[in-house]
Amino acid sequence: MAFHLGCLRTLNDFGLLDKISVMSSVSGGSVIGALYAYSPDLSFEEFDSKVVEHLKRGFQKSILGELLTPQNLFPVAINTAATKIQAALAKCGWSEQGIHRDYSRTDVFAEILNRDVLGGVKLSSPRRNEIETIIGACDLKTGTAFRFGNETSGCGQLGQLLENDISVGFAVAASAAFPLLLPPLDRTWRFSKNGEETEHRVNLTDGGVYDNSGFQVLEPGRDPKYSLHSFPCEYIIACNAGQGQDSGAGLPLGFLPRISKSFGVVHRRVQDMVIHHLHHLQESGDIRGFVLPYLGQQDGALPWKPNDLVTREEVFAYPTDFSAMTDEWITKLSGRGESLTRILVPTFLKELLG
Amino acid sequence: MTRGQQRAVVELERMAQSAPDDLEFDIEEELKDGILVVRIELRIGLLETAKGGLQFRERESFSLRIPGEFPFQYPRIEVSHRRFAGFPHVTWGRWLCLYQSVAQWNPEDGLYGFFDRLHEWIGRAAMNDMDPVEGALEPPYHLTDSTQVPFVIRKNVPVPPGESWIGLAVLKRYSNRIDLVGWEEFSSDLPQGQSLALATMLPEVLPMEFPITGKALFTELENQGQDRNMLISRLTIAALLTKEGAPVHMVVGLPMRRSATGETRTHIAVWTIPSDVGDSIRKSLASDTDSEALREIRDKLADAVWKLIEVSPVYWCRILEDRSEILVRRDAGTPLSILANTKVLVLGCGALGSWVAEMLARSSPATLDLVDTGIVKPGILVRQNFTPDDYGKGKAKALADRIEKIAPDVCVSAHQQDAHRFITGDRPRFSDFDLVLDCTASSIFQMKLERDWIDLGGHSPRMISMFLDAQAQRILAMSIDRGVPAGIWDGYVRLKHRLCLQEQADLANAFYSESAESLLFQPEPGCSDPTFVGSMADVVGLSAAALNRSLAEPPSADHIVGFGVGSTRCAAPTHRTFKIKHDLRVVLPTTRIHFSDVVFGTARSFVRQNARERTSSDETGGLLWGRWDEALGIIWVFDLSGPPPDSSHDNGRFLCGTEGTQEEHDRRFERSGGTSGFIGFWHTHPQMVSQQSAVDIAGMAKLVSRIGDNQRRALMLIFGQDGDQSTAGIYVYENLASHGQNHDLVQVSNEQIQLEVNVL
Repeated sequence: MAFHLGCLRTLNDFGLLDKISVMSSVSGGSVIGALYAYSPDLSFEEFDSKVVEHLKRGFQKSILGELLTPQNLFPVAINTAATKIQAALAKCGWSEQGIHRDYSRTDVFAEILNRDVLGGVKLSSPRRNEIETIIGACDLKTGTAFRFGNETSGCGQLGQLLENDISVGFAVAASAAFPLLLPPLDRTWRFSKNGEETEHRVNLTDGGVYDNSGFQVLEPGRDPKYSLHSFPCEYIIACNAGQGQDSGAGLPLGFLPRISKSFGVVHRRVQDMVIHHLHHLQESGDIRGFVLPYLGQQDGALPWKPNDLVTREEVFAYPTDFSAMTDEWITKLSGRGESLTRILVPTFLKELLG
Repeated sequence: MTRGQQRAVVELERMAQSAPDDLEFDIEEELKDGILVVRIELRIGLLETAKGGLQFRERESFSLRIPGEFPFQYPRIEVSHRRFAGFPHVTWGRWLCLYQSVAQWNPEDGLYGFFDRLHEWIGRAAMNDMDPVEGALEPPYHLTDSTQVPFVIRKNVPVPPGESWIGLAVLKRYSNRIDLVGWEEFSSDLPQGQSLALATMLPEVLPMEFPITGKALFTELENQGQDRNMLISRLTIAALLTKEGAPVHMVVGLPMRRSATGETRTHIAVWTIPSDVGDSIRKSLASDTDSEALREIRDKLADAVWKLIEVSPVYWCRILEDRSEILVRRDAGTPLSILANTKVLVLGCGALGSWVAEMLARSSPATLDLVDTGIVKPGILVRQNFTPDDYGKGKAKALADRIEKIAPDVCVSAHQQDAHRFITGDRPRFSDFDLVLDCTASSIFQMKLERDWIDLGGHSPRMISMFLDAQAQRILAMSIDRGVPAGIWDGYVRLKHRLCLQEQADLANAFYSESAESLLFQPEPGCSDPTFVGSMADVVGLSAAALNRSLAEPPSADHIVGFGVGSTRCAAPTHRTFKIKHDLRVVLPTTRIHFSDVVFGTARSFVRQNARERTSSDETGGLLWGRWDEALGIIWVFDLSGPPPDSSHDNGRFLCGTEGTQEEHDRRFERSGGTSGFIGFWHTHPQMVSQQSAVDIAGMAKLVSRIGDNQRRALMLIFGQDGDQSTAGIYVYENLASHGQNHDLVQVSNEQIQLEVNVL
């Protein structure tokens, strides 16, 4: 989030933020993306201050504190226990339909986002410059992308939600519910597809599981018959707070570190392919240009390296866990986002600066 | 019978067995030329008919001629009667024309396909639907004298179809053809020194099969009001225009063609009379000095000649059409087709230019000027468009001679002259070209042209430039529009900067790396310029691709276009287009400054960053990056960066630091392939004019001296405001000390400009 804030600062300095027509975000990036898009009454400076305030405070303590309140502790605990029992029964073949996990830690996270960050706005609420806003999640039940948009939400397989009356905080929580830390959001909604209305249960988790760049909805040539969200763009600015290649120090011992590391590798490889794909799209003329400020960027590959650049080595190991950040880390991470964007935009998006 | 004919007979048997009432056949004979003649009888039955359509009987007989090469040649079919004569697609009264070309015949279908086609033909003939007026019309049929060279009709007819006209056709005679290159009105003074033939445009059509005898032809023409005496007098004139011993030609135009869209066009035929008859016609002409007896002999001779013509077959010359009103150009709609009737200049007639010139010439420009100082030598024939007969000749002249043979309608001029001198020696002539191809691959020429570009006064033509890499695997091209304020060298400088910085590593390495030059070789060691390694296939393929791309994606008043094209010999052949916006150009007395479009936007971003981190009234600034070319007197400002870490910002004062500047200069210089390095400083004057202050002047020399001893010049750019208008002050400083001395930098020129981008 701090890295993205830096990118947005420089885009604002270049006067490019006002030219943005579509904002697609996934995972942790959804928090700042939604906050930017759904704060039409804030100046950039006010938005900037608000983000810094949230970064300093973090979300971990809020979630923990909220979980420990009597009204949340009991339902979450009951629900968690019921889910575990259900899973065990299902394993023995005694139960096929899982019970609804109506209230989980991710629901608490959604409530905090709605209350403390986004002010309870709905997906259809007014947005800054009427930006088309897409918040990407993943439905674990169908294994497909589930996207929340200001116009419509849903997924290609199930169709679009009949009622898009969903809070932005819920969409962001779903998008950012990293499966190793937060359970999926469990809902049953009514969908419309090819003129038919049907009811489906969805199990929503981190959008990065399906498309960890948020780029897919911007890709030219998507067939609206199969894609609910299609916003082909001439220029793409892809801010990526991925850490890039690991230094190789330390073994991922234990189940969780091993799985976490594997997740990271798969994500990075997919991101590499997205980068290649962006290059091909540009070469073929399907898009006119793109930049990709990337936290894990190898500094030696930059067009040039200014002296005040916060280097990759200084920041790339910083964890993405929504914990409270110090001023120093905020400055470093946002500074890297600022510098990278300031280097890349004049080199690769010259025509936008005229 | 060949295997194919055996297959045809089997197919006929199968068809006859399956429909014995509809088809009967007998094998009649096998002709000497191997054609199998089969008589077939078809039951036509009831047909839907229309007025003017052919009337078919219940059963019709046909003669099928199956060639030995069947099914790779299609059969022909005729009827023994003349009931179908005169109907479209019936030739010589008997032959049914089922196929316009072999392309319509599918050997796989065999006789089944043939009979399907015949069935369709009969159905359309009955409905009189064989000659749709919205389509093209086939030319008429006539007896052809194949012993004579053909006529190539190059010039459109002088009057609309159907309008009477008599005059002269201007001919050019070659060993293999006679070109009809013009039409002249009849006058008492015949054009001198030209080969001529009588030409007449008739208002009415002749039968689709031209009359076979002179008498029949005269009868047809008399029906059009062309009486016999008139024809005789015309033929006499035609004979007089013909040299003794040569056949007489009379060009006849008839409104008997149609364009692809159905408009009537004039068909051109050339009636030919044997040379001995022509000689007799000339001898039959009376002379003032003739005696009575001689005049009688001449009259008798004239009667005999005309009787002979009447009873003799009428022969016509072979015609090869090259008129634009008849032919649909095979390159219509292609990028090069836009060059028709334009004025084109090719600079450099070597590996690229010699082929490019031919490609251009085939697109029918009005004029083509070729410029080169070199001569044709043996080694270049490997990949240049010359022959051993050209050895020792100037390349431009040799190429012009070749092109005149290829495209005789193009006015080709050769100039054995240096390209730069050709341009500057006659600037209006240069400005008048519609397109200039720079195939010199000479950076010296391009730089000299850039230096003098301003002298063209905004009247430069559209230009395309191209050059190959050392292994002829890639080509780089640059396309600039008419009247742009900078030339092709400026385009290449900016393209190089972009290629090096935008990770276009293959192109940057191929054209701008040290290794690129080391791959060049001397074809004649010791006495020739280094050149690239490449075959004719390489240079033709790449130059054609570059030419096509450059014409298909034109530049504009806003941007130039660079192209990088890789051949199939590359590991990853690619075509890439780089649209580069025009710089903002400021002309000072001693220097021209080209500001990249990103400079002002980037400055604005640093100003905003400064306002966020300090206050908007604090001054900020940083370093300018670009290229300073003293030989050309041009400074390219590609980019600017923010304040070095040791800078100090105050309200009313900015002291630019220098920490890390040398390192950043080195990095940028290396990364940009030597295109971009430190060239100066910039800073802001918030809410003030962009005039330099005493503090600025004092600070300049100090700053430069801290960067290095070799810094002999610097540019200072100050962003300020004049009321609501964003302005920039530009100050050029140079060290004017002679060698060995060490003076401070002094300001040599300055300019205040207004900016469209509001930097502050």
